[in-house]
Amino acid sequence: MDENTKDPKALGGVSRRDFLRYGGVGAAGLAASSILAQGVAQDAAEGAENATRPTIPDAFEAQRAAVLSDVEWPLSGAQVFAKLAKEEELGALFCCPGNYDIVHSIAEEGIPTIGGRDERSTAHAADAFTRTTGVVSACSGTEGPGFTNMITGVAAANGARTPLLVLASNMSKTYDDTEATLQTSNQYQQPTTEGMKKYGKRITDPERVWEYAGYAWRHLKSGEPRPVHLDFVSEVSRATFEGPGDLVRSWNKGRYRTDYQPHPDPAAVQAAVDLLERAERPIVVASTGAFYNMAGEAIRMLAEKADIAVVQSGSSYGHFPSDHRLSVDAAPDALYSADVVVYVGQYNMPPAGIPGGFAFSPDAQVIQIEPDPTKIGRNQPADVGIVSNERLAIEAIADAIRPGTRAAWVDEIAAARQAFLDENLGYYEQYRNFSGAVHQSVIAKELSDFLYEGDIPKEQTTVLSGGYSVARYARRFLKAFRPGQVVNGAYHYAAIGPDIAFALGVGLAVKEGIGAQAAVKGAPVVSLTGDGGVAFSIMEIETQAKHKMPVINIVYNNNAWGTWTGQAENPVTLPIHLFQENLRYDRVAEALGAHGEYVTEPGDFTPALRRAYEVAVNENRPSIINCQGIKEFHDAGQYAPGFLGKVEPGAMAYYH
Amino acid sequence: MPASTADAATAIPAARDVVYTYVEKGIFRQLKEVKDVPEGTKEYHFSWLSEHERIVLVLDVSQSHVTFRGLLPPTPDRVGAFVDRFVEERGPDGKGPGHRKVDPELGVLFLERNDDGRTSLGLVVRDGRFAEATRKLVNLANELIFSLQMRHADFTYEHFATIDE
Repeated sequence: MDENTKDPKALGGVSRRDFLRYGGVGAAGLAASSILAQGVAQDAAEGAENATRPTIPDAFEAQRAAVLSDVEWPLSGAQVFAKLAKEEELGALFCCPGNYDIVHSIAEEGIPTIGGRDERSTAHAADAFTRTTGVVSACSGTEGPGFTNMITGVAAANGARTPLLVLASNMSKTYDDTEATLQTSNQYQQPTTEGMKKYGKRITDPERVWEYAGYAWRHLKSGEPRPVHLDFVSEVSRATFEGPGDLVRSWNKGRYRTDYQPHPDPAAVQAAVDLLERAERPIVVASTGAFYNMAGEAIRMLAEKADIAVVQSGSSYGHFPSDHRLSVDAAPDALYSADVVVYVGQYNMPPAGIPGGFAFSPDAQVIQIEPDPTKIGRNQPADVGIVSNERLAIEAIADAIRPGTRAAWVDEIAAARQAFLDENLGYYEQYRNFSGAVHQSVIAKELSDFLYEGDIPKEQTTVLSGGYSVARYARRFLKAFRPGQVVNGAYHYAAIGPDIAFALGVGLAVKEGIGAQAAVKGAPVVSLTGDGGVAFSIMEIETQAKHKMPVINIVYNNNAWGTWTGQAENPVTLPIHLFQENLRYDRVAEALGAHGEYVTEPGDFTPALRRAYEVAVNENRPSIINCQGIKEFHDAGQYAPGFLGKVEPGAMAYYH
Repeated sequence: MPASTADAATAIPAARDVVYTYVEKGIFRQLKEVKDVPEGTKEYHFSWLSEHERIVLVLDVSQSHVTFRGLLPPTPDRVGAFVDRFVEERGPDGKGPGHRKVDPELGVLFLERNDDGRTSLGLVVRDGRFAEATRKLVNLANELIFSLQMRHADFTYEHFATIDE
């Protein structure tokens, strides 16, 4: 994808002026608007924010204005690695202290490099960056604790099938097995990431640094994506090379890997076509592989040619538009009717018949499209298995299938979509006038109205969908109209909570307009999290602020982990699940250079959202909107429907 | 109407074949056929849709029933009301597409609250169509449990699933 060279407007993208057009408040009227005036009054009354707001050092502006010079031979090992990363269009690097030979070399190649506040968060940020762009990114930590701090982030990326480049330093290999420093056992990084990567190598031979970088990129850019972990002894990163001749097996990118893709077996395509043409209610599950291989347009062609429904799964959504007549994302009651299911790049394939697995009929026949033949028929029997690049397989099927209509199926989907919407609107109506606390349904519905039903173009806003109790409602209303528009933070590994870190990655992706986010470069971003999650990565608000990222972080604050209801009657165990009540995460945001809002009544949510949006557009400053709920909303016995579940796949799914 | 002995000779094998198609697909796992059952009856225990308990499927030709015995543990009122509505809507007068409802010529869907507080989901089978009825009931049970998971997740988390974030 080379979206960076295309006119954003032509893609349905938006200009900066467009960001200001919403809710009838035009750009000219901003300073005088009552909404903004209320916000200013709030600041003045509190008397704190403007006077004590942190300042961003001039160095950040200087960085943006810096002119990079070409890095020429002789090169260090780190510079060799960085040059290859640049050629391979590494999208970004998120890091914390250490591994500076590599980190600085990558930054000096002009690759956006963000120093965050802890390595777990920066690993999550890199993961989310890639999930929303489709472009490989990297995370980095120093040997020892910097490396081990990244493990959760690496595991989450592995679960989500993200092509994440994990970089870590080692000290000199002369210290192996000596415990000479605080950072002991530094040669054991690779065993630590077993089971959570596609490829890994501790690079110890300086002259092979280019060769092993090639290994890494072959794995990152082919087949089923997963993390790649490289660690470098200092002899490698600090080696000096006079020219390419000092390196072994250093042929260039065009020859150490290929971009040509595997095509499907024609017989398999025909078998799939035969099955689909006989089906009454076929459905495509457009999953992770559909996104990374840009199969969205091909899926749309197939769907429209033969009236085949489409539901999304995976770590991001938008490769099939939510408002399409054939979308089943928000029509879960239609899933049970499918008689043929086409899994496209469904890398996280659950076993059949388990709780939390796919909701399809046990009688549905299965077509599975995967680049890896060892995955065909894994966990579920495949009636037709197609080993292929996902886009090419769908294009072949779309080309071969006869046009057809399935009016009854389309009508059933429409009815299911309307029924689901009515159900969700019912929850909103129940709680929109609740006094003294904000229910999750209010956030979900009014955020959706703000993003998709007002003057903001519906394709504009990228959303990081996180949280726990708020997610159960928000996901029912979130929509995606272009690839990567909604990122499913907790996808598959269930890293529920580090959403501000995920949003850092999404924020950079949109700020720089990388990959799938090119058309909305510079637009505000929204992230959702809960009070259980906010603490995991709240310090990355500081990172968002100093890099002037317009991220609106909505925190659903219900004073507890979402697990408290099971212990409600046990005075010994209940406090384990509770926080102090009415904590002010908005004040923490202000102390970190962001804008803060505290919302305690349902009617105040949308005005706060608008103020935060204004700050995002006018100041490129992040916000926390701290929405005060009560933990009892989680309890269906007191406040139906309580803790809502989800159906896999679809917009609510975590696992599939 | 109870089926005849002659019907049992064909209805049971046909229904058994349906059960085993789900075994072959990996949907019913660790299936065991109970040996000591009355004539004209088959009883299967297997793992499906629950991490906690085994599912019990009973084919009773003499009563013309196919039943998931005790499928649901004791339910709070709101869950019971949901289940009642589910069954009602699968009848001929229910809303929704025809293929998701129970054809009256195939049978009648029923709920039976047992002495232990559990609820069975079953079909009264017409004309000995046990194979079709078994397939239909399996689909209905699948739909019911997943529908409960979506709307009453606290209930299904406690009684069916350990997988939840």
